[in-house]
Amino acid sequence: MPYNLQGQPASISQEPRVQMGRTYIPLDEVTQQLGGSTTWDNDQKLATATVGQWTATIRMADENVDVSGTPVRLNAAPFVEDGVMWVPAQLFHDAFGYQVDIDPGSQQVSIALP
Amino acid sequence: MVNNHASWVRTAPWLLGVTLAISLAGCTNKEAEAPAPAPPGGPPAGAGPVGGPPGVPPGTAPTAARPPGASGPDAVTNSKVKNALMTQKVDVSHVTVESKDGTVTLSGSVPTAGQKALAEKAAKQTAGVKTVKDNLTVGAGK
Repeated sequence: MPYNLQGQPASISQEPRVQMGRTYIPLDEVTQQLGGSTTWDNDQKLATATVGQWTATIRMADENVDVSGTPVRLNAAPFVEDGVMWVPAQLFHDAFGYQVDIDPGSQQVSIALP
Repeated sequence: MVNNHASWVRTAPWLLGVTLAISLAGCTNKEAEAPAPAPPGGPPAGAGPVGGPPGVPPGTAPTAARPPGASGPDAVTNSKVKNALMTQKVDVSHVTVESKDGTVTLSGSVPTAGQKALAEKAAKQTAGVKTVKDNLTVGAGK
């Protein structure tokens, strides 16, 4: 399994992908598997991801994210391809406080509360 | 009938008061609920509850999220162009995209000449783009 969420192997339809040296994961599916939700504003190209009481507002191709009023700069810009927003895995640390680990060999992404 | 009517008239203010009180109570509850933080996200069965991010000071009240960066048609075009570059695997680490009324300016640097050509092509094919000014240089980004 390429994903391990909260200590459990997680089945997500899209595998992590590496682009420009960053590991990207699909925002919607991962957020939902963590118990959160997402919305998409197609006019503004904005996604919102809510996990617990924290909401991240993420614009397509923009490193600058707003997390419940606090500006956060990601280490790489998210992008949208075939209707899927891909975000750097690090977003789940920077926005929601999860511990994010990426196995350099298998590229497995582990996301869990620290 | 007259008595009954008089009784109704005497009772009506009570009813109005009660009705008003109920209505106000309903509004107050709704208003009180609206800004309350969303319940913690439900993790997958068997996992522990999701708390707030440790990177953010505990107890920080969440506020309405505001869009990152500027908004408006030029900002959206910027996003579309940069996204097009990224989906074409152009290294945008050192690329700046500026849009104004359909004219897009690419500046900064990309690693190869092939990526420069790809970037210009992807920008030109983006919806809403009329003209592309390609000021990209080829070489190591600063």
